[in-house]
Amino acid sequence: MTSDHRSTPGEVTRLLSEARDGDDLALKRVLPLIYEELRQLARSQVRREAQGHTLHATELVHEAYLKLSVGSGPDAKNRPHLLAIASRAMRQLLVDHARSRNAKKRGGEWQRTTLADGPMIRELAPEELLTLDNALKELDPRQRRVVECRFFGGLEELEIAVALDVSERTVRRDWVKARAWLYSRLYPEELDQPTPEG
Amino acid sequence: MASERRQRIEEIFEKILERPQAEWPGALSEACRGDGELEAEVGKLLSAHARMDGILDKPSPVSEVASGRMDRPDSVIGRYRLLKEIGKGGMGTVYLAERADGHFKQRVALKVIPLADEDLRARVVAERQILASLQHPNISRLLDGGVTEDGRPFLVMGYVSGLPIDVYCDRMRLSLRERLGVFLTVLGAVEHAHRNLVVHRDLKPANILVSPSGEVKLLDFGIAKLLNPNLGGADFPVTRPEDRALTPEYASPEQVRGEVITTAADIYSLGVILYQLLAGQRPYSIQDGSLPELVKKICEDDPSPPSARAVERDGSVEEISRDASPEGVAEARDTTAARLFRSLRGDLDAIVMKAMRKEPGRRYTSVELLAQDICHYLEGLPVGARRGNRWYRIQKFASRHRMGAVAAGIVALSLVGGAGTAVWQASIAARERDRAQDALRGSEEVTEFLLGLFDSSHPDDTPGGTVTVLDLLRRGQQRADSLVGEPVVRARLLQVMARAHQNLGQYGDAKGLAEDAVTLLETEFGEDHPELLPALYRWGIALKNHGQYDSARIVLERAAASQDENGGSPVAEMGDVLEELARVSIYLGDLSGAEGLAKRALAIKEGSFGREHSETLSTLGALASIYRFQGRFELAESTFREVLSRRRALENPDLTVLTGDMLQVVDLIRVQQGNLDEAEALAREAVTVLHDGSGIGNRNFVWGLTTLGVVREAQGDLEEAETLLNQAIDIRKRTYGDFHPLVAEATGVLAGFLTRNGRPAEAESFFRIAEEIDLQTVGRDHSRHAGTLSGLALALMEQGRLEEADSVIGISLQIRTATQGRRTPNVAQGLAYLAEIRRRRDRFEEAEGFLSEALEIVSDLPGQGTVHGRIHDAFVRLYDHWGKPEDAARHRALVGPNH
Repeated sequence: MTSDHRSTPGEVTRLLSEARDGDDLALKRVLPLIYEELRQLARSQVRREAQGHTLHATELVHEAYLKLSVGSGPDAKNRPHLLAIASRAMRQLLVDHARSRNAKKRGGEWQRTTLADGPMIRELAPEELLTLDNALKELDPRQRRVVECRFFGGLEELEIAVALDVSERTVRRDWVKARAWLYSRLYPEELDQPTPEG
Repeated sequence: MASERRQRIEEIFEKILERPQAEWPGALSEACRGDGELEAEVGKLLSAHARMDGILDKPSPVSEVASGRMDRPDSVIGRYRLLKEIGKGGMGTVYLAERADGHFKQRVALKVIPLADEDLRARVVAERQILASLQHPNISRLLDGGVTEDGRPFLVMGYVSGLPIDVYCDRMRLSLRERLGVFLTVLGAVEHAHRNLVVHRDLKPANILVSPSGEVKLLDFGIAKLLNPNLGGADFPVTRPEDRALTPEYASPEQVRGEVITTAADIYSLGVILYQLLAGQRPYSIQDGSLPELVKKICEDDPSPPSARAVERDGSVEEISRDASPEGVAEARDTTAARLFRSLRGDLDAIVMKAMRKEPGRRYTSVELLAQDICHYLEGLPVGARRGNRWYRIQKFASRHRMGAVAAGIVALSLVGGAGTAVWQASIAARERDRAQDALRGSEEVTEFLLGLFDSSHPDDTPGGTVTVLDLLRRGQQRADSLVGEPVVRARLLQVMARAHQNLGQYGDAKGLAEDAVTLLETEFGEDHPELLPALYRWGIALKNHGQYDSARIVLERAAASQDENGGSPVAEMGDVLEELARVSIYLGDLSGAEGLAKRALAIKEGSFGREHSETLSTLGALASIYRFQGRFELAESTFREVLSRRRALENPDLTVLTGDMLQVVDLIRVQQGNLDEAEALAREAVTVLHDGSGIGNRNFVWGLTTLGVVREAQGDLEEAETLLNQAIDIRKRTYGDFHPLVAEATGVLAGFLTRNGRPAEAESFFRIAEEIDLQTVGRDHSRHAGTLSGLALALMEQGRLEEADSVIGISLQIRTATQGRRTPNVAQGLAYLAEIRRRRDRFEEAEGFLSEALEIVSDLPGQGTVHGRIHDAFVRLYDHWGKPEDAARHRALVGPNH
């Protein structure tokens, strides 16, 4: 994908509302556009990283939204929806990246070292991310959306609820279930005993 | 997996999650009814839920993607071959690497800094020479540095494998002495660097590693400056909130302000590290405050000394782990909380506080002197840091408080008077005053001292023409210091001044002075001088007022024990000590312990004074207060009525104490919705008696107005109620100035009234004023502040601002849990409020959880019948809204007669 595929904000907005109305084709077309936007944004953030700032998915997703919604005016209904799609694109971006990497897991506690740095950020290692991606495919579609929005998009519960058109409580419940499921898939070795200690 | 099966698993999982974790195993096998596979699947989810480390809860970091360019293992940078990535932080990626030119098999840590500017590149090349010259066995020096082929600077240093010093000491359960030994090694290394004119600038436990064999290595010497010279002193660009990655928890005030950095900054950071090694907690924490708040604390607040911090309870609502509790901290130091407290107090406190002073010039002038003081401590020699410590504090007090001119008359009252502070303590105020007068009369020196103080306080002698409380106290301090060789008199004076500060609402300073009195007596006479008992008593009260309930308990228990050791029949003072201990126990949620202590105190008082004596009756009143806290309102009321009638029969009863008893009875009638007309008459009598007898300056006068106001509210006369409550605030302000805890208290009462009567927006603004006063006087982590926040949460809730209310009550609970423990009536009440807020947010399950916890807490406390009823009432409301009529009915049956 190159920047030639980028499109005007207006087009994204149009595709987006079509996608919301159930047009799968529109969704398929809007996703790559957002994907590319995110990738460009991530690259442009390197300087901030270099200055000691750790970038989180939330910021990228929201910045992508801001750029893409320029010119379409504020649209309260569109916002959570676009953010949700951006979250999905974010997941794709991170997974692709992890796949292209073949790094080892980070060392344990006895191998710490620093060179004048802030605290180390715990970030899923590439193979952990790939495991997570596979485990996500086993979830029911709504739970998967919730995880995308929360973990890959950093959306608030309310935003997720609006985007998926369910209650906040449902979002919360889906999250609790999905999170336990994913964790059990990510770290099966930690769950040797069938029941946790009290 | 079939989706029906999947759904079944999730259903059971959710159901079981609603129950307390202890019941999970039972509930699991019950729900699965022998289906082993199902049980295993659900078990796995439950286990995952319980063990989760939070990695999924924060949005994913995306630095991998952002860094764009990656250095794969096996690629070569300079003379080094990368082996693997070992860490990534704000400023690039660190790799394990080895020399690639085959000369040695040396393993190194190599850091690549992405996208550096030209300056940084030049600096890395220039300064690596200086830093590489720093040779010391405990310093992991910079070996090399340069620029990669594509222009990114890199730094190379020896690869160190080890644990951060704080983690190492805890893991190995090193005793205080062993910790000091390790710390001295650190000091040796820093001293070496300083002698070579290299300042570290970023000392923190993460930069001080200890290997499994106990070898200490300091990392990153000079690197902070190398990476960031343009910022001058400010290695921490703290004005930008997005730079949270660099937490300034170990940074000195001059560093966070961006001023010039010298070796003194390292000495400050060393002080913070030593603080943490000794006390198990950092002096300031960023955990729950914002960054600007932390910066403000670093620059302005005096932290509690390590001894006090070590026994304080700390941690947020979720994170009460044993490791952070006083017991856990003591255990990691191979001792008990009480012993740890005593070992730290005195020399070690003084050493740490001297290293951590705000002004660089007042710290140890070199690392060597700091090390020397620690060696002196270890050898039992006098420690330099303790000289002039109190002067330092007094001067700070003077510069901090540009206090408004308060009439000298108040000082007279404070110095000879000595009233308590909290309303419910009012009854003992007069007694304390009598005692104080006795004590003073007993000592000619003290009397003369006081007279002399006022003689010299003519306004004309004072710049600006007005004598302020502060002037007097300062003068008192100077005179007290001139009484060298008379430790008993000096100790008494320190106590009197502690009380004066307490009456001004300066609880922190009161605490320091009271502690000085104890230290002075101990230094002069050892630990069993008779003067020590009243001094410890005073210190205990000061700690309590300052909100350090755990420390207060330890000090008062020590006072109580001193009597036991001496044998003989208990003196009357012991009754006071036990009574105070009972009050502290209430704050800590030990209501039955409090009752036992008060009864012991009562027996001592009866033995010393007889039954019909003002002292004995006051202690009986204290017992009645405890009944009230226990929720045994009827017993409390009848006991107070007895105290009142017996006191009326005394010859010439003290007006303050007498009206205090009246107001207690009034309040109990109101709480139980008894005969409000009787309550009103009694309240009016109290107010009139006070007004005619001793005027509106009497502290109970305001209490009388407030109590009458609340009774009028219950009777439905809202207009008079509001007038009375406003009047109360005005008088408090006139007496104490705008910023005093008692003003905050009166303001909170009015605000509560407004919330109850449908004016939550006005209530909110008053609560905010009260909070401002709390923060400026007692500080954030005080139960009074927690009380204000809890009222504020209700006012916000009534305005429908549920999310704000939710977070405010959360902070309140956090403070209460940290200062008083989890299992207290106040926490139960807070949880009930939180549940109500969640219910209104339609988060029924969470509300249910909080109510269950509240119920569980009060079930363990004696006599909380009425509170039980209220919680069941809340359950009923919850289930009604939730559409669970059966559950509602079950609780409706338990609500009780009062509702």
